[in-house]
Formats: sequence, structure tokens, C-alpha cells
Amino acid sequence: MKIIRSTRAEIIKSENKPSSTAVSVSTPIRFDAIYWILTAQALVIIPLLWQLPRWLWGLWALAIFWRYAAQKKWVNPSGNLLKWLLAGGAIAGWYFSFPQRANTDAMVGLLVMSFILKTTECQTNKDGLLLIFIGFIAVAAQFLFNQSLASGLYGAACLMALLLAWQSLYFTRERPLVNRVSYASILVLQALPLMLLLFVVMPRLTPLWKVPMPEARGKTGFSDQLSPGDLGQLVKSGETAFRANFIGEHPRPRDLYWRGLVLSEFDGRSWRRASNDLNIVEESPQSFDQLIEYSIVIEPHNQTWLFSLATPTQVKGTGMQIKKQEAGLVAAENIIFQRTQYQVISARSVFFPENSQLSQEERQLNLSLPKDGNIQTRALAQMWQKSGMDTQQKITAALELFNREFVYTLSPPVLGSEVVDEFLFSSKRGFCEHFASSFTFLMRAAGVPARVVVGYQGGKYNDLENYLIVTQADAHAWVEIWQQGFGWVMLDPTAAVAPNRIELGIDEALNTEDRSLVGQGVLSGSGWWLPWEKRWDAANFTWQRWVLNYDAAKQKNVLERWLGGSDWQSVMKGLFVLGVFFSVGFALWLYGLRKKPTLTAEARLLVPLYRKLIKKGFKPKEGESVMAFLNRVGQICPEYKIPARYVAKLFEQVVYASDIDAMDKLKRAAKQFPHVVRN
Amino acid sequence: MRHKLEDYWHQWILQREPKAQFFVLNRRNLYTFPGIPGFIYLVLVLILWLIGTNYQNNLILALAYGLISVFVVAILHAYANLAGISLTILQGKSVHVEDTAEFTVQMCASNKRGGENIRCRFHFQKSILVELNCQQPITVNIPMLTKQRGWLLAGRLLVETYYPLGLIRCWTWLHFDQKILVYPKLIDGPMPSPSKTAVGEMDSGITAGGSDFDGLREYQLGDARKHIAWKAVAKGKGLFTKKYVDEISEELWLDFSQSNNPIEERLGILAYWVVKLSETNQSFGLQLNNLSIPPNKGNLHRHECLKALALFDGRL
Repeated sequence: MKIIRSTRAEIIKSENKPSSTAVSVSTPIRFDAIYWILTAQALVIIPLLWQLPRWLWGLWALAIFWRYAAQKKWVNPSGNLLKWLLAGGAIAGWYFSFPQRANTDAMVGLLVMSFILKTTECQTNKDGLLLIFIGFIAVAAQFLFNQSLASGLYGAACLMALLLAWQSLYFTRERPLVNRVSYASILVLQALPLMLLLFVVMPRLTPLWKVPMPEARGKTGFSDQLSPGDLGQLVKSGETAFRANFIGEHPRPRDLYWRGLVLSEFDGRSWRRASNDLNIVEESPQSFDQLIEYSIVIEPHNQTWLFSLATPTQVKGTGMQIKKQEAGLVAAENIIFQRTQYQVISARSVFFPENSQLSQEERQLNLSLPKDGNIQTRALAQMWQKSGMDTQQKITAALELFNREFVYTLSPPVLGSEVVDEFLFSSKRGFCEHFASSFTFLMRAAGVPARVVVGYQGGKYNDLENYLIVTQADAHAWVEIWQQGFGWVMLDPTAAVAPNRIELGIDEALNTEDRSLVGQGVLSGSGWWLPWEKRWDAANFTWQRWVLNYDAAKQKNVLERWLGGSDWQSVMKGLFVLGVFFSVGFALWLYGLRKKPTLTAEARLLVPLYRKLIKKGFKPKEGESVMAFLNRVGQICPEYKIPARYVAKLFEQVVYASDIDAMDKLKRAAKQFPHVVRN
Repeated sequence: MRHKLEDYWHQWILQREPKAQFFVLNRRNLYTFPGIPGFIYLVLVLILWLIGTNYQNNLILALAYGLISVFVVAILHAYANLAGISLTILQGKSVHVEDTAEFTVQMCASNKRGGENIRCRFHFQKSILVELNCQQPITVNIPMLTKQRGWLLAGRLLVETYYPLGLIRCWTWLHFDQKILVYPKLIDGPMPSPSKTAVGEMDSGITAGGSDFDGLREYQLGDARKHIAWKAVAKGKGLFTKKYVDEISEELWLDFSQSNNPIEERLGILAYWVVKLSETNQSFGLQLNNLSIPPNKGNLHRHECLKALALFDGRL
């Protein structure tokens, strides 16, 4: 890389301030450095300002205006009332905007605030350096809120801007952009290998102490109750819920029921989770079969529940504690505020002992209905009960009922107070929660323990990285029924009405009108950008799996694969080998440099000329000077005599008379040799 | 305590790199260590690492590792900024006490990058900022305040840089073997020359005062043209030649023993007259206790006199 420099060497200035032995860093800051710092600051704080109270934008604008005014000499830059008023106002604003002063948001607010205020107090290089340091913490704060690939790249851009600003503090004078970028790039490229090495081998520790977690904002997803119309709203969002990566074969679409929550309490309109104080002891299955192993990267949804297939047998979280819960559910210890990965092994078939029974309490819970209401439905169920149908027959009867004249739609009519009766006997149009809700009601009324399950169904594969992407549009509700000898059995009444919903996805199950209501998630469009969207999503997924989820366990795997062990001796051995390798490489490089003496600027200009002459068969002798060589060329070949003499004369002027103009001429003459173009 | 440590440090450096007039900066004489900002930076990185660990946030951890790597690279860059620079000390110009003496050092960077943001200063002196380009020697004048007459030794020159990021200080102390003669301070006072009676035989009535105009006489062939009184010619009075006293005056002596002032003041006044008389190109001699410099004029004579004054040892 060629670095442009001015052609003169110079002494910049001598300082009038006597300096003692202590080194002073307090040289006044140059304007170009201030501009760079302000630019980098803008890049860094804009994403943070979106997350913080709006008045901080105003503070920022005021600070920049103040800086401008100071530059224009409208205000005195060192210490005036205005600046202190600004600082005082900001502190008061912070005090009232963040009622809880110890949480992450308040801390980030304070950080951004001091970052902005410090620009008004920036006279020396020391101040500039402090600003840069605050900038690095602010970039870390960005990562705290968002770790996606996009924000990772944005953060890298911010860091580059900070580095450029940082460097401008220590250049002797202002430099052109190309120059600075090339310097900074060299620095980054040299630092990168060490950074990667540290990232891979430095031990990953568990949190040293508990910290307040930032809240994810405005995330869509389930709540822990389900009323008619809730899912209909949810599927209008195209946001990604999670991505799943299967180890081994892909399960069939009809096996892709991602269970999230089990809702067992019904109040006549909404389904809720059973209250926690119910002490339910579930009988665990005897054995498992048909295992599916997969890992899930879930988007933040501000809840603790997680999604899994069938019956999870083993769960493991990355960077967080997760646990199995009753009813075959998985949940995290803390709320999910950032993208998180977890691994699950699920069993598609589970075997219970022949004589396994529901506990009394659980049976009661899963048969309970409100005291009154929905008389028609109750009557129908009681009729089935009286006619002596067994569980299987009751299910078949209910599914047949749905199959006969019900319509699967995203825009069902609004239901009154008798939700189940109105749906079953008059409107007959509904979305999955209507079917699940009324089916469960029917079963309970007919004496069959049943419960509603909400989660997602299906998803789209991204074949680039071979993972399944599940969006809010895949939200779904279905039913589980207790059957003696089988345990809880999954049943999807929606499948009876709209089999396409299960096999092909929600878009295929709806009519065109409804389809437009479904949220367009990732990979659901059909435009020219789809391949790019696919690639981007795949890159995101890889990023998540290899960068964000690189934890102690993954580190162990990587170290074992590359170094043959993850204990510190193996790591030291590996580092030693790496060190020897690099030292030898470096030594060879140095040796190569020594053999090739560095040319002076003038001599470098002659390189094209020498190449030409060597091609023509003239060879410079050992220790022969430029003049002597050119002279010899002129003598051997008369037609080169004039151009050779011309070049020699120019070279002489450059070397002995330090003639800068001659340098350009020499450059041209060497290139155009043997043609002489004088001007 | 601190001074003692510093003395040891400089002793140690002097042992590694003896006094010389020419130095090349290399790993023998260059030292690198984080400056105060460097340590603040390390604390910052530690904080980031703690945040990254506590929030289990890999990007923040990566940021912390990246910043540490930049720190390591900055060490190499700071070293490379100074390595390969050659410094030659040249003869400096003499000055008077309390003027700023300037040692002239020729610097040249042998590497391709040159040298950026280099600060040079003598111990406890003002610093200057230097930028070097590849293989283009420059001369810099490094100031040193003078406090007493006599030989001013160059002593320890600090060459340091905080380039590229201000985290790492790379520096060296070079003990230059060069000296500058510092003349006494100029003090305005009555001329310390012997009175005419003291000198004796002089009774011509002409003060040995200087180049004062003393009247006109008729022009004779061989008189200098510039001494012709052109005004008189213009008035039509004919050709006259201006007479100057020094043409006929006796030798002029400046004598140290002519006054009872403190020694330094006497030397200052003598120096003042040496300079003043040299400016008007008069011939004078200097009597300094048992040293005497015969009357003469010119720069060399002036320097010889001032040197004698600068190195005068009052105890003799």
C-alpha cells in the first residue's frame, strides 16, 4: 500500500510551554480531529437514541450547536454558563426520565448523555481520547440491545469510525482520507488475527455477578391467555419467532407442532394457564422412541417459555439455564431478552405403563368448565356421553361435525358472550383457536380430559443453511386429549377443516382475501430479492450459531477438534506451535527484506527503465552507479545515447540538487524511455 | 527518592548506550511502555470484558478482545515509528547567558514510513514536534535555556512518540557528546578601560573613544573616498577630508581590573563592550587578570575575547 506523504520533511512547531519530566498529553485538539470525533459519535449514538427518551435527541442537537457556536467564536469554549446549564438540565432530565436509576436503560442513558456532554468540553487531545473511550463503551451498549448480524456489521463500522477519529488525534497534521483509512485498515488487519485467537481460546466464564437485564421492546408473540381472535391478530405479523436446525432427517410437516404453552383453565371466553400452586405430579413415560435432535435460535419475546416438538427428553441452553416443566414443556430461567439458542432432544413416541392414571387433581383440572353458559354445546356432549360412546368415538363425532360445514378463515365474525355455542351452531367460521377452544370444550363436557396447546405449526426451510424458519404467521392452537395407555395425545381439529394448513402452511389453507392478511415473514415473498433474502437470513443464522452462541461447550468442541484437548496444556501447546510457526514466517520475511535493499524514492522511479533495459539485454553490473550504467548503455547502443543522457541528467538534478520538478520529469522520462518528450 | 531512581535509570541507559555524536534508534536504545492513557484503556477493556461476561454477550467479549489486540499492535507501531531513525548532532551556535541555546540535530528516517509525531527535548527543557519523511534528512534546533556562562553540554536528549494511538509511549534518552559555549550576559555599563593618565604617554588630547568625527583637513592624495566631506564639496568649498579620532588614537584596552563590581557583572560589562566595539569594527585588546589578548578586530578576535570571558575562572 502506498502512502502519500508531502515531499518536504518538516518541523511542525516548537512549543512555548516548558514541559517537565512528566509527559503532557494535553496538546490542543485539532479541528479535523473534532470533526472526526463528532462523526463517529453520531454513528455510535443514533441507534442508542432510538431506545432512549426523546429529549436526548434535543440535547445532542444543542451540544452540536454549542460546538458550532464555539467554533464560530460566538461563545467562549472554555467554561461558560450555557455549558453548565446544559449539563445541569441533562442531569435533571435523566433523574426524572429514569425512575429506576439502577437498571440497564438508565445506565445506557447516562452513558449517552455524558458522551454528548463531553463534546462541549473538548479542548485537548486528552479530552478527545476520553471521548473515543466512551465511544467504545457506547458500541458495547449497542450490542447489549441487539446482536444481529446487521447490528454486528453496523457496530464494526462504528468502531472503524472511532479508530479513524482516534488516529487523527495523533497524526502530526491533517491527512487525506485515503491515507487515514489505509493506516487504520493496516492496524485493524494486524489486530484481527490476535482478536480471533483470543475469541476462540480465552476461557468462557459464567456471569461473575447478577446484572439487570435490558428489556426487549415491542416484541410480538403469545401471551399466556388465549381469547378468540388473538391468534388471528398474531399471524398478521411477519416477524420471525425462531429458527430451528435439525440434526439428522427433517421431520414431516405434520410432526412440526412446536408446543409453547398448555392452557387448561377456561372462563367461558379465554383459556389460561393453570395456576402454579396446583401441585401436579405427572407420571413420566416409561420409554422413548423416534428421537428428533434439534437446536433452536429463538428471537427475544420477553417471556420465559420456549418451544419444542412432541415430548422433550433432554434440554440444554446456551448461555442460560433452561429446564423441563410439567406437561412436557420447556422454559428458561429468565425472560428471553436477546436471541438465544437451546438444544432439545424430543421423542415422537412415548410409552406409558398400561395402568397409568391421571392424578385426581389433574383430571379435575382438565375436565373443569364454567358453571353455566354454552348450553347447546353441553347438551350435544351430554347426548354423546349418554349414548355410551367411548373416547375415540366422541373424538370422531366431533371431528365429523367440524368437517361437515365449518370454514377455516382469518376473518371470522365477532362472537358474543356464548363463544362456543355461537361458533358451533351459528357462525361456523373460525380460525384455529376457535376450533381448538370449542373442541376442548366439547370433550370436557363429554367427560374426556382435554386441554388447549398453543405454539407454532410448520415453518419454511432455508436450504442454504438447512434450517427451518418459523414466523408469527405459523402461530397455531390445537388440542391434547388424555387417553388411557397413550397419555396425552395430540389432536388438531383445524386439520379436519383445512388439511392444507398442516401440510402446506397457512398461505395455502386460506382463500386469497384472507391470505393478504397474513404477515409476510422472511422467505414468504416471491420477488426477485428472495434468493438474497434467503442468503441474508442464512448468514444471520450462521452468525447466531457460530459467533453469538460460541460458549464454553462449543469452545470445548472446537479446541478438542483442533488441538486434541481443551485443557490448558493442550491450549498452551497449540499456542506454542502457532507461535513458532509465525516466528519462522516472520524471520523468513525479514530475511527476504534484508536481501532486497530498500530503494530511495529517486531510484524507485528508475525501476521501469531498468526493467526495459534488462529486457533489451543490458545488465547493470555489480556496484555500477546509475550514471555509469546509463553511460554504458549509450555507448553500446547509439540510438539510446540521447535519451539515456537525458535521464542521467534528470537523475543527477534530483539527487544532487534536490530538484522536485525534475522528479516528475524523471518519472515520465523513465516511463517513456527511449522516447524523449520534453515539455 | 524519585530523583535518585531517575539518576539510576539514566546511569543504566548511559551504560547501555555511551555518549556519542551519532545514534541510530533501534531495539538497543528504544523503550516502550504504556502511558497513563494506556492504563486507562486497559481498565476500559477490563470493564468491557466484565460486561461481556456478565451479560454472556459474545459481541462485547469480541470487542474487548479486539481492543486488546489493537493495544498490542499499537506497541509495535509505536516502536516502528522511531526505529531506524538516525540522529547526528552538529555544531551549535554560541549564545549569551539567559538566551536560548539551540543544539542542531540532523534526523533521518531510514524506513519507508518515516516518523510521525515525534517529540524531542532535552532534560527539563521545552520540546519540539518533528515529522520525518522517508530518507529525507532534516535539521532540527532543539532549545536549551542557559543559566551560566561556560561550556553548555548537550547531555540527555529525549526522543519520544505516542503515535499511533496515544496508548503506548516509545522513547529513548540519547546522551549527546556536544557542547556549546555560553558567553556572559551582556550588561550595559561604563567602559572599563584605563583612563588616559593611567596609560601615561598619551597627551594628544584625543580620547581613545571611538570613531567620532574630529574635524576636517585638506584633501591629500590617497585619502579614502568615503572620508571625503561631500557636503563641503557640494557647497563649493573644495575638497576636504574628514578626520577621525581612531586614526590617530593609541591602542584601546578593556581591562577586568578597572572596576570593583562583582565578578559576573564585570564580565558582563566587558562582554557588552566586546560586542559593541566589534560592531563598530574597532580594534581593542582585553586584559583579564593574567591573560591578555592583544588588540585586534574581526569576528575571530571577538569570539576569542568572549570565549576568554566565558571560561574565566575568578579564583585564579
